[in-house]
Amino acid sequence: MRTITNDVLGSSAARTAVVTLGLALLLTAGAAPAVAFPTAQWASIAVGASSEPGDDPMPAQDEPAHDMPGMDMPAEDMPAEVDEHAGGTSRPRGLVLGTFAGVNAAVLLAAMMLRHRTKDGHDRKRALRAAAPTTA
Amino acid sequence: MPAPAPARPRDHDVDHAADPDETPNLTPMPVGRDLMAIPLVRRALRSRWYPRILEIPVAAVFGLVAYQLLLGPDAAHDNPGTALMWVLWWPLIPIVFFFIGRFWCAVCPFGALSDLVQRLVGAQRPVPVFLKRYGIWIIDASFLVITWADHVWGVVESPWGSGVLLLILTTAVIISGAFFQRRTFCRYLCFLGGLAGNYARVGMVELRADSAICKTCKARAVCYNGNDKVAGCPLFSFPRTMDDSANCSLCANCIKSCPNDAIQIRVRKPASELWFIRKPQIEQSFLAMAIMGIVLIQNVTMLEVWQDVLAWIEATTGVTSYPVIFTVAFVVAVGLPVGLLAAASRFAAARNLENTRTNFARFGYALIPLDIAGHIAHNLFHLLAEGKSVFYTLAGMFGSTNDGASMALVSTGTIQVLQFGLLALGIAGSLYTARRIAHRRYQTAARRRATLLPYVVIISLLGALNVYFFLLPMAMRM
Repeated sequence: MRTITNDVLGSSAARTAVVTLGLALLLTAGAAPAVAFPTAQWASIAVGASSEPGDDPMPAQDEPAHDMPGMDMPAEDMPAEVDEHAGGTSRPRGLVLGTFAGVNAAVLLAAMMLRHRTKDGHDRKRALRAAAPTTA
Repeated sequence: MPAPAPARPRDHDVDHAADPDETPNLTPMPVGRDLMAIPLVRRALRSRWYPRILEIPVAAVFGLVAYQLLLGPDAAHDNPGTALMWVLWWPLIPIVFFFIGRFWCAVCPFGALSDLVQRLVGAQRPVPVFLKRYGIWIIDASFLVITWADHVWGVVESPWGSGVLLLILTTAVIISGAFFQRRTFCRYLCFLGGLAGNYARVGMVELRADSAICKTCKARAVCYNGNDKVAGCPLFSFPRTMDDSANCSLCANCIKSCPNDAIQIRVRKPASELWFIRKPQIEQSFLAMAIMGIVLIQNVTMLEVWQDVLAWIEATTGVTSYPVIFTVAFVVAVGLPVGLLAAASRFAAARNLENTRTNFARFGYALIPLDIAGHIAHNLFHLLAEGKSVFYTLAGMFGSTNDGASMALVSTGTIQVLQFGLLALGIAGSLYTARRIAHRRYQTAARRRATLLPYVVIISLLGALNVYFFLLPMAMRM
């Protein structure tokens, strides 16, 4: 009977390590250009705050909601000075994506090591059981 | 010699003074039409390509959404990721739950990612006991926290915020897949899975095993454990004993592995599962109430009058911090349905045979039809009033501009008619469900009436509140 455990135990450690490192490299490489990407398009709007009349009006933390520009009007009616293409806000893309890649790479490596330790333990127990004299 | 055990009321067959309501009606749910009898459905579900053939395009779209959210335009109304996620997918998903239960979970890219990680590095540890015991409470809490964070940090309106949310969820899925068995995250931690489980009970399709065949089965729970070709149930459900649809994603693993063809996909009356639940769980009822509160707060903060409320609170209290004001409003909105259900349960408990807690757990399920109707009605506004933004933002990826064109698919009047129609169905569904639960639990007319009355009152109140909110003009998401 094939279970999920059996499915998983078939893959090699080397392949796993390559995949893990590949994933980390891919994500970190994707993050690097993102730092310099001309993403900052919002004008004078705090990070995490909306310039739009969304259903969840989200002003910056230190301002009352109704004081935020464009909170209660459709996007197309927004005045030019709050147009999101007028200025720039930097996002910590490199930091966030790098952390994401690093944390997940560490998780994958830890899981891989745990799996091999568990598998080795099972193999050792099986070998001991096979070597033990029977009580007949 | 031990003393004989004291006789229970139901043992007094000839005692006419015994309360007929001591024993609830336990007749099983009627069996609906088996869709597996249709050759096309049978072949499709047994195919090794199902559900993989659907997972691949869904994963591709997910990749595009994630890329756009994290690296695409910063403005929500220019970002195809935001449009696909919050204007198309999020409004459609409760409709999918209503028709085909947790089917989304079978094709969800997070589930596929968990499987992939497991195949590569999975340590296959058993699910921790605390997750089994408190998982649904963690889901309840995470749902509330995510909704709160959305309002305070603007997750939905900010592509970057939505992207970071995806990264956090992806990390949680990878951790779960790397260390624990099967789809632990989907079953015990996913807030959408919790919502899906709750709504799937109203769904029109159910997967069940034919108990007569299962009694003779010698395959050692192959439907649960899997075999050489098919993995076991990813959501840890055993079809033979499964009596609800909360933890079935219709992935068809059990259909493929069952050697006796005992698994059936049946059509049923919408919401009928709700009055056949044998062991109601208080955490599921709490989740239903929390969802009601979330829909209420989503509606309130979308109203144009919300700005006036904020101004009034500021003028009255001097508090200008939006997070503080919103947190208070959030607690009130979520507390209102929970408090109403608790009050109704206390009232009912004084007049029937169960305590407040049991009444809360049992009748909380009756609110799910109104929950799902309110949720779909709310999201219908986003889908139909902003639906064209999906097309325009996707076209924008290729350089096209929309030149201020309307995003609406239909007129506001049409949307309101649909919303009120849905709400009417939801209210009727909840009233009918409460009635069926009361009739199934109690046999005497007086006790049925006394039990039902407080729940009719709160369903009517919450229904009226929803109707009132949908009458007021709303702001858009994009």
